[in-house]
Amino acid sequence: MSYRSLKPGGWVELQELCAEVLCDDGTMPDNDPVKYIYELVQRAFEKFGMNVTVPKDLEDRLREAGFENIQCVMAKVPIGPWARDKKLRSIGMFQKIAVQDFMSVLPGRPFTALGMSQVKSHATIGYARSALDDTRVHRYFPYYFWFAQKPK
Amino acid sequence: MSSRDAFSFLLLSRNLSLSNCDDTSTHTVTMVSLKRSASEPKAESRPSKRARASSADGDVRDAAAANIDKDPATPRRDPRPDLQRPSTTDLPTRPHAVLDDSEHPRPEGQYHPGIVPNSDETSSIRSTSSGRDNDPHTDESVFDDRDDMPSIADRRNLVSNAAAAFVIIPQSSRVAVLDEGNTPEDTGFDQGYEAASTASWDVVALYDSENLDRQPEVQYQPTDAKDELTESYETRSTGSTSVTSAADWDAVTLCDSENLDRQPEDQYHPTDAEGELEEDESELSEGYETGSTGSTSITPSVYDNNTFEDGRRYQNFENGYYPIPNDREELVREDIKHCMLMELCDGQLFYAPIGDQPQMILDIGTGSGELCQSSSHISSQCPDKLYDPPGVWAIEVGDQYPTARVRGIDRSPTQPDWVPPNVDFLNDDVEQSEWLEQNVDFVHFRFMAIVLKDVVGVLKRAYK
Repeated sequence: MSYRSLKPGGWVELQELCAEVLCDDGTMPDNDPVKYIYELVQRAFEKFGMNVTVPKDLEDRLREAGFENIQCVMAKVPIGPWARDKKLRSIGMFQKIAVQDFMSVLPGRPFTALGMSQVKSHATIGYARSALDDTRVHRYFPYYFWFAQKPK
Repeated sequence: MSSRDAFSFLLLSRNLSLSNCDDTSTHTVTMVSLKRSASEPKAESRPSKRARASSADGDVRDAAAANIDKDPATPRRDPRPDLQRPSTTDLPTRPHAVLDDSEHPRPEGQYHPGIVPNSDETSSIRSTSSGRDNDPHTDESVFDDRDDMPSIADRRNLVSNAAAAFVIIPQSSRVAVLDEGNTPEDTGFDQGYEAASTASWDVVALYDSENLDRQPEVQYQPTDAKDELTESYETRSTGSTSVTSAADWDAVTLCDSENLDRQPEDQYHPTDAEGELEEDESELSEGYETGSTGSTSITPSVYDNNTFEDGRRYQNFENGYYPIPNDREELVREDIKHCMLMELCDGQLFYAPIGDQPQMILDIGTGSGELCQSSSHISSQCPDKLYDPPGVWAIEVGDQYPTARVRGIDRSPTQPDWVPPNVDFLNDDVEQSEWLEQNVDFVHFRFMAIVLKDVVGVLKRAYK
């Protein structure tokens, strides 16, 4: 007997970044450039049929697909080396570089899909780049690790 | 997996400084060592440069320098008088050794060129190395030990030679590499053809490594007629000694580089003499039907599925329109995220309790492993890449679970081909076609829920 994909009792895991910039201690203003960039990203990816905040709603989708024993581990990943914990500070440095590199992608297809001009795209991203260097603003991304099991 | 090494590598390529991090010492060490090794060939032409720099800097300073040089009472400035300099035999000679501390452990308290013992001395090394061209006071003897180091060009040759050696390393007896040495001319294969050994070494794909657009000159057509087949086999066996010597190949995949739609044709080779070929025809047809399960799906034609916009390369899988590029810069970014998650999860690759002996693991959207690229064509493009830490999730899982077969699926053919024997990759779209894999123990997605257009549909396909 062979099963088409997963064996009964097999597992699926999704390690996802929920691409919205959050802050818990109020150091991030509402008009924060990095936060604004990711709001634009959200709108741009919707043009491609993608939802960048779907990782926080994966439980319903896993259940709809038939999985059970759904579990989730959530982690806050700082953007930039502002964390007091040494390991998180290193992780924040990684995340900051990843965000910086992602910004260089944005003036291409994503912001063009929004109808933004190249000048406006680069100007917006320039503000965000300089804002990333400010370690007084405690931005973070929520990461979700969903794992679920096919019934035996 | 040493994420810190990978991180240092990234920093090197970006010229960043880690001023906000506590680990400044280790990162700066690597930066300084590379900077010094890069400035090393200047050592031969140093006097002329010094002369030019002196004349450019002005006569006052030059005169002062001359006075000091003439004065025997003035002690030469040594930034590190307490430390004993090593002999030249202690110097790293391999190209990897500049960044590799573990191979050449440095003794405590001993000055090692290129490696700063602690962060307090970083500044002195920096000022010394940067200002030595125009500062005649600088003690040259600090750098004299390095004159017999290989030049940058030599190192690149070493690196490329090392990369070539990696390709030829026989992981099993099934590997055969056709190169200039063992390819007879009368087989019809040019010297440019080489055998790309794939994941499990069962299948060898022949392609033209230098000219991807060129049509392969020999095409084997699987035929039903016994005569033609025997003839084809004879041509091959008489012409190419290296092929017949590798008698335990299972199949040879011929990739047609110009025809995108055509499937690669598998030519089954019997393991024994020609007589068996004529006797046992059922084995032949069996070989055609089973095809190759151990190969990558990559043929040279898949690299044509790319679009270039604004200097970035985008994948164009079946005319898809994808917002994120798949060029080297983006792949390195994916590897940064991999390193970050390994750090975040304390080296844990996943949370699902799949047991100790899984059999089949799928990695959807497997990405790149750009930092661990060791294939020959990538190495030839990046000769200054000094070392290759592992990067991609599928490779690390394959190493960790030797019982499992790990298959990575991605729309972009950007995966390395130097992988553990239980890891392979498939160039496919999980949203458009039925999955080929059966009896899977574990399906892993990373950063995929965002870019999938139909998350539930893909999950249902995994569930089936």
